[in-house]
Amino acid sequence: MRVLAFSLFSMFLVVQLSPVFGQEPTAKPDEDNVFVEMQIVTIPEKIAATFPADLRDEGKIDSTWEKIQALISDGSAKLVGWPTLTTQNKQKAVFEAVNEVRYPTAYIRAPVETYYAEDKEEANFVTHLTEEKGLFIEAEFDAVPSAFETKEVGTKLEVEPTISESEQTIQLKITPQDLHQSSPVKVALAEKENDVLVPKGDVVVTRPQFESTGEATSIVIRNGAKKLMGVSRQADQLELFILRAEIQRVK
Amino acid sequence: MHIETNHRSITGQWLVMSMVFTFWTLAPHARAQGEAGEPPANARVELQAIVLPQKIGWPMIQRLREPALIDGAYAEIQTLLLEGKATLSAWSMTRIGCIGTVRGFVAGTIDRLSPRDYSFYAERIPFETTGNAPTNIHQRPSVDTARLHTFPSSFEANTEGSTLQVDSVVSDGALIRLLLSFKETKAAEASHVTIRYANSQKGVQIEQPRFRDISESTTLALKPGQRILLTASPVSEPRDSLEMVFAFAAVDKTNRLQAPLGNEFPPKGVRTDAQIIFLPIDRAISLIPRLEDPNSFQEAYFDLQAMLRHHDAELIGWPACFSGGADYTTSKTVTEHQAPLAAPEPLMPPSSINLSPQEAAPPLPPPIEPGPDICPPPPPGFEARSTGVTLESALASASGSRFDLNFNLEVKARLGVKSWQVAGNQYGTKSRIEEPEYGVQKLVSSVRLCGGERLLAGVSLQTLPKPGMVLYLLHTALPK
Repeated sequence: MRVLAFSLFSMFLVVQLSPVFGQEPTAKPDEDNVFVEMQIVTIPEKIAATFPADLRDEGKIDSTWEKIQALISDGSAKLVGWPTLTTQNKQKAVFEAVNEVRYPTAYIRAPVETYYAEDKEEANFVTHLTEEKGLFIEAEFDAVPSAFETKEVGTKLEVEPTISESEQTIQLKITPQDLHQSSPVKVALAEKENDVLVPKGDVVVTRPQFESTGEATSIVIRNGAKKLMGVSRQADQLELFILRAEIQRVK
Repeated sequence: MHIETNHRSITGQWLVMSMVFTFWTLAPHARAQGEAGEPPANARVELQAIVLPQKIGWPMIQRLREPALIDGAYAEIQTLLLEGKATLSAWSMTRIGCIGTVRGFVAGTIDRLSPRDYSFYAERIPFETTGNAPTNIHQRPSVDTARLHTFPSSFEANTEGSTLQVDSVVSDGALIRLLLSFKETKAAEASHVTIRYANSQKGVQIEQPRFRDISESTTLALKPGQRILLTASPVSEPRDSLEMVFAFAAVDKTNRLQAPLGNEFPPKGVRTDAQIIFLPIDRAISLIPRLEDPNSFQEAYFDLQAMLRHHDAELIGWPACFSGGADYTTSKTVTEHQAPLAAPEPLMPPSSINLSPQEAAPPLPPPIEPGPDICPPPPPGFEARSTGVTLESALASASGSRFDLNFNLEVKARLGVKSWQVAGNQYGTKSRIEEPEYGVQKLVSSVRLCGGERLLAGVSLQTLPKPGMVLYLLHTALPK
């Protein structure tokens, strides 16, 4: 009977444990993905006045995050950028969502000489007339662009995560960048008079303005946690940069 | 003793039974281990980019992040695509052998020229005088009487569309590791720069093209059949929209590959042909998943052939070539034609000058009688461009009934012309520059196959001349 019991027991053990032995022991960190997202949100300051402090408070960050998601959903907050990346442990990943903006970088004040009158007598009353140009009127065009530049406006994110041995924290080498256009400004062009630049009020061009926020840093964040990475103020809006990172098991 | 003998015999029977039971119980595990351990032949890597309104997309985000819920939410998004509430921005799929550092590349792009620099000239508008010339300053002609025209004087080439590149796939059947990069470029609404007349609010505008890029390079580990939301990014065109990019990977089971009888193994060569088919998006959304699934492939393939017969799908090309070794053999069906070089300079009317800043003001010609003041711009030269279908293939290696095939499929098409207005003249006619636009659909990959096998090797989105999907159906045959 003992032999029978032993054989049954051994059979039971073999059957029960075989799947366990057949599988790999546990997923290694190198086989996991790390999900990283950076929400860049602008919120009217009167709504978001306490958000920066709340987002720095570990006890309040999750509830504040939920509030922000609800504000985005109902249109009270604007999602400016949302770079998200999923990459493996110790592997660098890059995300870009950019618009190319082209704008003039140099202008010329352009005289255009146009045939005007058949004879000099008829044309004598024209102010811009010169002896050499005789029969031609000179019309001037303000600020004819003579050179252009292209700039990439939008969000970029570079991440290289390293999962800790305990798999409780993630070290992130992270480089977020946000460059966006703000309200354009009007600039009066200057002219040289006696080798001195003098603003000429009636020649005004519209110039784009760019605002840039970015950093290159290395931080440690709890798995699944969120972190306020930066705050900037624009007019009556607060722009918040909120990071979240979590390990995504694959096996 | 007898009892003992009996006991031993009973014990022996139990032992035999237990061994049989044990083997029977373990057999499925053993089979599973064997399947998982056997490396799969090919991986299917797919990226789909979809633009949808934020108010629809935002509430779905949480479900799209949950591995258990993503397939349901994704199916809803496919329905939104069919209903026209969402737009397909990119959809690229490539099959690629799970053999490490081979490259799979699929692209649907358009080569587009856009103005880089402008030249300006002023059109003469004769000042009408009756009798004596006006002496009062208020009667002087306004400077507005010279009308400024702009025309593009140099162009730059931009590539619009989407590309998916997979640089490496390794899979043991239970996990797929891949190194991928994805880029999507779209033309956005052009911006304008105003050039004003002196002391006047009036002016002319020149158009500056704008492009929007979304790109990502990453290393991923996915379970076979797993779909993830790779990224979701706010976009301003259409207003308050969200662009979601989904990644998906699956593997082909090696036991699906059945070697045909009567062939010599390993094969000395292979005949490859590729049906390149255009399919409207609504039909593609339902048909492509069926073509991707080996279990439903055959039926879906017959449906596709029926669509071709009924002109619901369009055969773009069907190149074929024979590869006998590692050197590429090529099949080309191309048309070569002459396209005008970019940036023809319109001939200046005698009464105006070129304001190009690099040029000094040229000596002014004597006045002439009014006449057509703009000459049609002749192109400065021509260049040869070829359009058509190319297939290159090479038998990289062969082992038993299976072989690795490297192939390169390319379709170049002339999509039409982009017309840029140069100037008008006093008779109301307008001179225009027409620049041809070309579209490229490309699939480069390396797959493991058996002779006679047919598979959907890749798909890519086409936006012009009409939106739809381009399907690449690869078929191989071994010489008897």
